[in-house]
Amino acid sequence: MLWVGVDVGGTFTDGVLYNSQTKEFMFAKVPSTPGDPASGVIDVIKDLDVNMEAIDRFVHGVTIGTNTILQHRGAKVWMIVTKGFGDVLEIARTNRGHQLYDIRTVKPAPIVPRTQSIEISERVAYDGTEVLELDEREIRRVLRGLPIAENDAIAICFLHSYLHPKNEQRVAEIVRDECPGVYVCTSSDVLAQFREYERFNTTALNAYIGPLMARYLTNLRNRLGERGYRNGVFITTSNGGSAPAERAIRLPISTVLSGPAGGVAAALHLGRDNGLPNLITCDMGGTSTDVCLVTDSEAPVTNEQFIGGYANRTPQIEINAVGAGGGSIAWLDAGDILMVGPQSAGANPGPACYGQGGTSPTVTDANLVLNRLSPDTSLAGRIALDRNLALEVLRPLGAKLGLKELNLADGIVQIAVARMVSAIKQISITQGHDPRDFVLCAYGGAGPMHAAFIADELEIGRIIVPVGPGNFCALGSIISDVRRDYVSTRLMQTQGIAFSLVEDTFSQMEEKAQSDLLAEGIDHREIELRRVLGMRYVGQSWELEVPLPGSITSLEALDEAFFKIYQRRFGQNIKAPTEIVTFRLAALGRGEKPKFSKWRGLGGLEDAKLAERDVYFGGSYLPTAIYDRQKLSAGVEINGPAIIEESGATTIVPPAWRAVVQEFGHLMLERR
Amino acid sequence: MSVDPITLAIVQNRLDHIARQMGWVMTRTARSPIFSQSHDFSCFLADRDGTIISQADGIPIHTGGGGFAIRALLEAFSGEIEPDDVFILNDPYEAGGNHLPDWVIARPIFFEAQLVGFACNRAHQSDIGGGAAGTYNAAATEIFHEGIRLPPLKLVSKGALRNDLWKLLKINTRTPDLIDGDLRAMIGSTLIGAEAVIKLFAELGLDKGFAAFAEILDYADRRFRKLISELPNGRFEGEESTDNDCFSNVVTTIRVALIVEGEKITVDFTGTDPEMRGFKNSSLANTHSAVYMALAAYFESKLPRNEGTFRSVDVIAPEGSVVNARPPAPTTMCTVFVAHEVVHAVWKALAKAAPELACAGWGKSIHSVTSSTKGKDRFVLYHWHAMPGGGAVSGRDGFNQIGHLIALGGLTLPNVENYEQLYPIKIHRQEFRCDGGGPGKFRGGTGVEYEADVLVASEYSFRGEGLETPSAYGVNGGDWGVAGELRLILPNGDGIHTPKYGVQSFPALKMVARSPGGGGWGDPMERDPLAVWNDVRNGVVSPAAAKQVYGVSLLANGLGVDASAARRRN
Repeated sequence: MLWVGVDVGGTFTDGVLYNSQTKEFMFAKVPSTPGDPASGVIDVIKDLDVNMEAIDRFVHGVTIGTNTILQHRGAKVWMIVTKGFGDVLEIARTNRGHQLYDIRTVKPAPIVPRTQSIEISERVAYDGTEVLELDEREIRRVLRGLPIAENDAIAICFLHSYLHPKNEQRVAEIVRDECPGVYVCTSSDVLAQFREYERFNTTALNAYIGPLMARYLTNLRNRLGERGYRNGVFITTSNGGSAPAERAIRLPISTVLSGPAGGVAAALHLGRDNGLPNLITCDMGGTSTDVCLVTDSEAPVTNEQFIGGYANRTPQIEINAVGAGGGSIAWLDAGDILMVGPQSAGANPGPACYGQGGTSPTVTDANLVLNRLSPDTSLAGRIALDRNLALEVLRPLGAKLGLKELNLADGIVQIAVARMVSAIKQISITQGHDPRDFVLCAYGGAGPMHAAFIADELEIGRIIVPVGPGNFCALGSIISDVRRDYVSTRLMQTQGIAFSLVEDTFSQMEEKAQSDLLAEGIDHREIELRRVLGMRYVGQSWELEVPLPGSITSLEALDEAFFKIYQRRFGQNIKAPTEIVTFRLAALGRGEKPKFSKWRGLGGLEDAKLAERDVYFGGSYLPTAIYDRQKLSAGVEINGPAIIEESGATTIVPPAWRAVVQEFGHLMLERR
Repeated sequence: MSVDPITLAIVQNRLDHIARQMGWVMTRTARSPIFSQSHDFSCFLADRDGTIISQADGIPIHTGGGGFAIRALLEAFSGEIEPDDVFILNDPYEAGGNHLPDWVIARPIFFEAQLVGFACNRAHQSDIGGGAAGTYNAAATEIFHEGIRLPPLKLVSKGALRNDLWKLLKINTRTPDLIDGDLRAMIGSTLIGAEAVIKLFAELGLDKGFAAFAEILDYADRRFRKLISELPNGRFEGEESTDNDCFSNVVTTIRVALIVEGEKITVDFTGTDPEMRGFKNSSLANTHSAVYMALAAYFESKLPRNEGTFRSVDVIAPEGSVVNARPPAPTTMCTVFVAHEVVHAVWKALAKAAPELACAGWGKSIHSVTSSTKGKDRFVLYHWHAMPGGGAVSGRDGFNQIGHLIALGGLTLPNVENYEQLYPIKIHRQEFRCDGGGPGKFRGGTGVEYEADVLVASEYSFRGEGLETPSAYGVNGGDWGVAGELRLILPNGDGIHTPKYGVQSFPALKMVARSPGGGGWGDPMERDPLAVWNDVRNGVVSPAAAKQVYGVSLLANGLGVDASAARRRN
């Protein structure tokens, strides 16, 4: 089997090819093509030197959804909503996040402005009964009076639709009839869960990114098809799984963390294989750095995330992002204080040293000036780096600050490191975890270059740099399982019902899940279904997730399981009546996973040594050996200062550190 | 013993995280929606002297009150505090409480047989007896009309729950099951907090732990002193009134002078009117909290949330005044009103010291609390969907709908779907008002139109502070937000005139409310014409108001505005 994974980042598009017979990986990296991201995907597959017709599986991490939301350039969304509730998105339960005392914060404008919030008569009561019928003629009349354009999107959001989706579904049909080709989604399809603000907002976001995603994926699929690819296109999803393109088009909101979630999925795999259950992942690319805290080989999954200040209730891995990457631009604020990011030079023009017309100094330029990046080798296969260009763009900024280029370059890297350190603190110290108890897992093109400096600040003692760190997210996409989450709100007290009601509800969901996954091309033997109930004591407002393995076959056993989890979570429980609120089903297509083979180094330390050059560390240049990672054998130890180069990434081993090549080729850095 | 800065930062973050974790446990385990959905509670950690060292979680009006409670408990139980004890209290006169409905649960934390601190929470109960269901007896003229009073009491003694006391609490409420569940949630959350603090001490050791606590308070003190030192020295005055004493139209005024001297600030309420007949009198703990939150919100959101921050703030609150009532004056309403008025008065004074940071007033709430039974259970329903609009600041308009000022928006509004599941109510509308927001360069929040059928006969506790009289002042040339309105309509179409405050019973009916708008900031004639145009398109400012108040006329073709400077000024 030949698997291809591709991750499109802000700066580079990374590819990985895995051959399950030979257990060999191939990596490639090309500049991203933001205007037409599919071109970068095609380019990187070309670089992997694989025949399209021979590829069995293609999995893809996309950032289109995230970028669209963060840059506020989504579709014009019309929301068709139950009369009287046109302001749900702006009221947003008045929630202002964690900035309670900051009364000067500006709340982000609602995804759907008031003028595009279309109220219509219909009403379903809390128990799912219809109390005011839909007036189809009214809907058609309203739709015909609106200037809805082909590239707009329509979100249909009715109260209590999670119980009674018919009205939303009917209006969707009418919309398809009246406005053919316009992207439309309903809240009961996007998130069949009660709590209208959260459901409506998630649906509005889905509509906001839907048209762009649909255009992109349709185009990509066609272009891959033209080149001979015959199988399905899969997309990495925010929950660390993957989904076929059709589903990603229908539910693009479930892909907003596509790329970073792939990286975390790969890190989990790496951690399990190498006995490292507690990791802080640090994925530094060209534009941003994503960090995630993994404990006991589990990534935290949340369905209470916000993106750009907007509630998104689809399940996703909890990841913290900061706008600091290799391409982040250094600049001076109003008070002439040196700042780095969040603006990035991106792929085009890229850092000044790429020689593509970049005029702003970036983190990569700074690293080149410090000699941490080699001017001779090229970063992404085809870009040669010009140190003089880097020096040139640093000069004016340095003059303004009264700093030599070298000191300025050092300062730029330090500031970028400080920003990543604070992102890690937010997910560790702030949450009560001491980063010193974790191993830093550094990947992304720029991660291994900065990892040791980050670790120094946090007093982290060990860093693992995986094989192919520059392509780790792409690797994660082929490691991830096909996964689909189903949720259904069905309020029922457990006293006085039969267990068969629970069984039946899940059976129905499972039947649908089975047929959905089969339709997505998953072999039935690979399907794994996990049942989870959202339960609480009668009268409470928040549910606790209770996994429901096959061994639980009675309500008594179910209550026992709930009490046990409640005790563990909250330190107390009482034997009081409980109720079920939500049925959750995770459907996984558990395919074969790539395996790393034993690392075959090509010789001793001297064979791997490429050169020696003076590299700037802690205030002065130190003679530093440069090694070719591909040639280092397992078991080899390298004392810093040293630099280990490979295609797609550079690992820096500062003077106080040592690197050891592991059995499967991963590098372990340890403070000496 | 000194503590290195990294350890200190980690300890401070750990404590804040513990407080937040306690709050999370409370929300997830509580029984009544007032806890579990609306977060009307706070969790905090105090040191062994009863000084708050972290209150990362909770609503702002609880900011400074917790320390009073723990210090009252330390005094009452000196020498009798043992491991696995849990205390309870609420009384504003005897126990450092803010008002009776907020019960405090405090668990002493021991490490190596030494008291190291307290894990605590303060939470608004669903019902505590008294003259009206749901804790708000608008007819109260004495604290005895407001519910059960609790001095510091030992609720759990060395791990054993005092069943006699538990029973006493449960027979003094109309909602015994809710109280039972909520108290368990409170006790459980303090257990989780205490365990986490013990773990912290186990890592640090006793001496370093104490040293870190002390340094955390000192650091907060330094941060706030620096802020104050940047203000001009002098005396800055502000005042704010309420137009009723809950029974008749009697004006009560709060007068405050802020005296800034170097790094110190004195907040002097001398000259404030005497306590009133109704239940809006403030306890000392509540007045401190209101002052602290006014300062923290005005200056810097990132100040540490502990009592060290306000070490340099002196509050002078004359005894017998409405900001420091004497027993048996009733006080239940004070955490909302007059806390709101105290914050407004302090903000008005601050606007003279640092005008560019001025905050316009927030609308005062008008929503009633209705109570009835569903099946055999009593329920208490807050009509929170009718919350008012907030005031503008330089740089942004007021929030169109936001909760009580004293929560700074920290009370999360319930979802309609959840409310309709829980209560016999059907909500028809919750949408922004037109022309409700105070005009300004930055406009006040609009307030909302709220309409709902209350499907069963209910008892109504009215708390209409924001009705009739505009309640949100404008600043720097901005104008007042519009006052609120409330109508009850019987099935036969008859309207009922409702009092501002009071308790009355009615059959099933329709409630129609317009909540007050927030105050505006700056001259409305300077508002960006495009912002005015947007407001008109969005239906929150009428074309007439755009022309008269903002000097912006719509073009005849409806596709834009005419806002030439000459026209605006005419």
